[in-house]
Order: sequence, then structure tokens, then C-alpha cells
Amino acid sequence: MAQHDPAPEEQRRPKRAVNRGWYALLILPFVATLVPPFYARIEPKLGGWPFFYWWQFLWIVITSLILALVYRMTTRRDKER
Amino acid sequence: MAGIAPVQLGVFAFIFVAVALVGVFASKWRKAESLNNLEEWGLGGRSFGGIITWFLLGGDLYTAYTFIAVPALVYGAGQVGFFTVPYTIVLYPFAFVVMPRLWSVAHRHGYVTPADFVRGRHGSDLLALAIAITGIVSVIPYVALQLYGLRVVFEAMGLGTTTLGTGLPLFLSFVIFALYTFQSGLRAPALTAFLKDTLIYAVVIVAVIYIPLSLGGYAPVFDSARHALAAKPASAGAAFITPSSMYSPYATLAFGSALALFMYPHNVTGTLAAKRRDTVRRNMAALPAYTLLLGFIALLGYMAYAKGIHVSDPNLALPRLFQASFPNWFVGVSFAAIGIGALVPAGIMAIAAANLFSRNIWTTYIRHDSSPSVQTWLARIVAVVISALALLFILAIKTTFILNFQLLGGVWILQTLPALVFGLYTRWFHRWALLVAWAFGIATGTLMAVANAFESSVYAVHLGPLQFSAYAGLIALVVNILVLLILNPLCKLARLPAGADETTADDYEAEVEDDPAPAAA
Repeated sequence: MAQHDPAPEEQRRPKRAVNRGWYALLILPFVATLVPPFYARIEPKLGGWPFFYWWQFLWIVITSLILALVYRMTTRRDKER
Repeated sequence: MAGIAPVQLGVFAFIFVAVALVGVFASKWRKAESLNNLEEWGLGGRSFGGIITWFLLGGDLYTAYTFIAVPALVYGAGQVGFFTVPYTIVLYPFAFVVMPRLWSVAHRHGYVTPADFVRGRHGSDLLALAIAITGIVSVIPYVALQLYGLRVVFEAMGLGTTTLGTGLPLFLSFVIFALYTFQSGLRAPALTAFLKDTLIYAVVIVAVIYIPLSLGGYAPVFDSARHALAAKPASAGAAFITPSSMYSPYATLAFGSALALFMYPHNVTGTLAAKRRDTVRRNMAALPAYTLLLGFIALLGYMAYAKGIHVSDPNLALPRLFQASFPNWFVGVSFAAIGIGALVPAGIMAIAAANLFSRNIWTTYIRHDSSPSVQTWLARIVAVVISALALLFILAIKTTFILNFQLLGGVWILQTLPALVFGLYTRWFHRWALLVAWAFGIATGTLMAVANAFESSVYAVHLGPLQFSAYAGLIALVVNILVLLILNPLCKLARLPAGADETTADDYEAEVEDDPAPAAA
């Protein structure tokens, strides 16, 4: 039972219970986008985009993916619509 | 660019009027038995599914003013305009956690406004009144800014800057808008939000592909912006990359604005109109698509530089860029998108403020026995009055004043966070502590704005060795919370009555299926 992957664990859980640990992932966008010293620079460029710009745009996409994942993992799928 | 542009104006007017008419007839859509109660008129019968909610909230969050102001800020000052990207990134993880709880408790208890919830949770009419007034006062300049966005578009189409030139079309737009809100309530913006965003997505996608292609890709866009910003005098405060002195303002503006946005009554309305808790959750996960759109809209400010647009009023940067890049008919389409982009959020805002007035001021304080039908008629009238006030604002008062008022509105609305958001999690905070802390937050925020001569929402703090600049709203919120933490134990020690809480822990997680078997509806 030394199961470290939380996904199967979530499926095993009884009705209603969801693993709220997934919510911790939601901290990542705050850390990545609210600390400008991390990303307020020009290099490395990507396709002509300075780092400052592509980093923040990239996090729009990453945040969407994180939210989609957290939504999936914390939704009670066993309940009928 | 002098003189009226007939094709642009014709296409604009055609689309604008057609969409507004759809709104007027929206009362027939998902027809309710009667529109004479606030659940129907003011919340669309809490019936909106995932897609409509997505468009409704998107229409709420990204307004005509956003379209004009964000590229204008980026054009005028560079990097600082991009704070809107982290702002609308962190917005959603926050709302994803918080807003479903508000939806659930509102669903259980029939709350229509944020003040309804505060009243039910903290058992305090006075605290609810404070929340309601903050909401109404903060939302009026927001409505006015939508009309301002419209005016910029009229100006760009050559209607002049005189009161008569833009005043008459603004007045006509107001009449259309008032009719639409009055008649259909929240159904009008919900139905037209779909048309608005389809147009806006189309315009922005064309713009961010077509314009850079004509300029030789994104590299020249960034390069020309970098040079243009570097050439500005230091006093302009323009920069291409956030300088270290701006780290804290940049981050706090983004964070504070994100916390504030869902405190606005119109965004609560958009959320509560959803059919299910799951609709809200799913939407908060899907809404960042709009952030991508916003990021590209911000970049349009840089494209204006690459295109060689020179305007003294940065608000005209985006309209002029479109006029220089697109054929006339498509300029008309894009301006219509901005015009409808004003109508949709202004409608939701006026409705939300009207709901607040009708329920939390009139019915609580003036006539306790107001029937749902009276409440609704009152709300309809108030919605029109609020729109008229906004129109008066835009015609009679200097734009800078409205902008400042709106900045202040953001600072004020953020001060309702403890009563609302903390309230969603705990009853630990005493109603009197919350009320006094709110007052401290409002006072601090207002004083900082006055000290800044209303010129900036970033305030420089000097507390002995502690020196930094940050978003005034967030500083005021910190003061608010500190006062709350100090007063809370004192209120309990003094055994002040805590008021009744009509909610239970279970209410905050409730989904539609968890409802007790319905009584005959």
C-alpha cells in the first residue's frame, strides 16, 4: 500500500471524499507570476519575445492546465448528474 | 484622420443596434413565468449553464474599457500595463476556491447579492448596508468607464470630441441600453455576451495574426516598442521591462486587483446566475482563456508603435492601429465589438447595483414588506437611474475624475473582502469588528488616494525603516485586517451580541442534488 501516486488513491476513496491536497497546486501561479524579480528581464528570448513577456504568457497556459487538473481531481465523479 | 468615416460608422451602427435589439427581446428567451421577481430579472432565474456563464463572466470581467485602457497603458507606459496578465492569472485560482462556496450558500438561502449573504451570515443589517453601499458606489464609475470606452470609439470614427458630436450618440446608446436592461434584466447581457465575445475573439484573433504578419513578426513589434519607450523622457515613467523600483507596485497591483475583482457586485451576480455549483467551478477553470485574449490585447499597444502610430491621447492608440491596419468595414466590426463590449458589462453592473439597492437598502430599511414584484420594479428603475448617472458623469465631468473615482472604487470594494470571503469560511470574526475594520480600510484607502492627489493607485509607505511602494487597495486591506484582528477579541471580551448565523457548514458545499426534497415550487 506504499502508494505515492495520489490519483489511484482518489479513485479508491468512497463517495464524496476527494483529495483536497490537489488544491496546493493552485499556489504555483501566485509564486510564478507575483514575484517580478524572477522574470523581469529580456533574455532568454523565445521567437522574438523577451523573457518577461513569454514567461507571463506561458503561465496563462500553465494556470489553465493546473486548474483543469485540480478541477478533475477534486470533482466527485461518482455522483450522478 | 479628420472627418467622419461613413463605412466604419455604418457597420458599427448596424451591428450595435442589431445586438441591442437581441437584448431587448431576450426576455422571451428561456421565458420565465414572470419577470417580476429578482430571481428572474436580476439573476436570470439562476438558470445559466456552463457556456452562458462562461460568456457572461467573461463579458463581465473584460469590458470595453479594458479594450481601450489596457493597450493605452501599454502604449503610454510599457511594462506596467502587463500587470493585467498576472492579475487575471491569479484571479482564477482564488475564485476557483472561494466562489463555489458563495454560490452554494446563496443557492441554499436564496441570496441575490453579496450583501444578502453578509446579512445572513453575520446577522447584521448594518454590515450588509456597508457592503451594499460600497458595492453601489464602486460600480457607478465602472459603468461610466464603459460609456467612456464608447466615446473613444465615437471619437475615433470622426464624430469629434465635442459634447454634441459624441454626446448625441452616447445618449442614443444610453437609451438603447436602458431599454434593454429595463426590459430583460440579466437575460439581456447573458444573451448578448455570446455575440459580443464571438465578435471580440474574431477581431482579436485576426488582429494578433494579421497585424504582426504585416509588420514582420513579433520580434519587430517588441523591438520598436523597446526603442519608443526608451526614447520617452524619464518623467513619463515608461519602461519595457519592470525596473526593480516597480517590482512591488507591479506585484501588489496584480494581487490586489485579483482579490478585488470578485468582490464587485456584478461579478457576484454573474456567478450566482449559474445553474450549478459545478458550473461555477468548471468556469473558473475555463476562464483563463480570456486572459490569453487580454494578454494579446495588451500587446496591441506595442503593435501600435511598430505600425508607426503616434497619438497624444494613448486611448486612441488601439482605434488608430485598427484604422491603419484594416479595411473600413472590418474597422466598423471591431469598433462594434468594443461598443457591445460596453453594453454587456454595463448592463450586468447596473443590474447588480440595482439588486443591492432594492434588497439591502430599500427592503431592509425603508419598506420591509416590499413584495418581490415591488422589489423588481424598483430594481428596474434604479438600474436606469444608475445608467443615467453614469451618462451624466461622462458628459459633465472630466474623464480624469472618473478614472480616479474608478481607481478609488477598486480600493473601496477590496475592503469588503473580510466580511465576504472570511465569512465564507468562518464565523470567528465578530460583526462589529468587521464593520469597524471595514471603515478603517475605507478611510485608509481614501486618505492614501488623497495624499497621491488621485494620480496613482500606488502609494509609497514610509514607516521608519520600512519603505516600499504598493497598491493602495492592498495596503488598506492590510490595515483593515490588522484592525479586525485587534478588535475581534475585544468585541468578544465585551460580550457584544454576535448576531445570528442562518447558515450551516453544510450550506457552503451544497450542490443542486444535495437540496432537501423541494417543496411545491
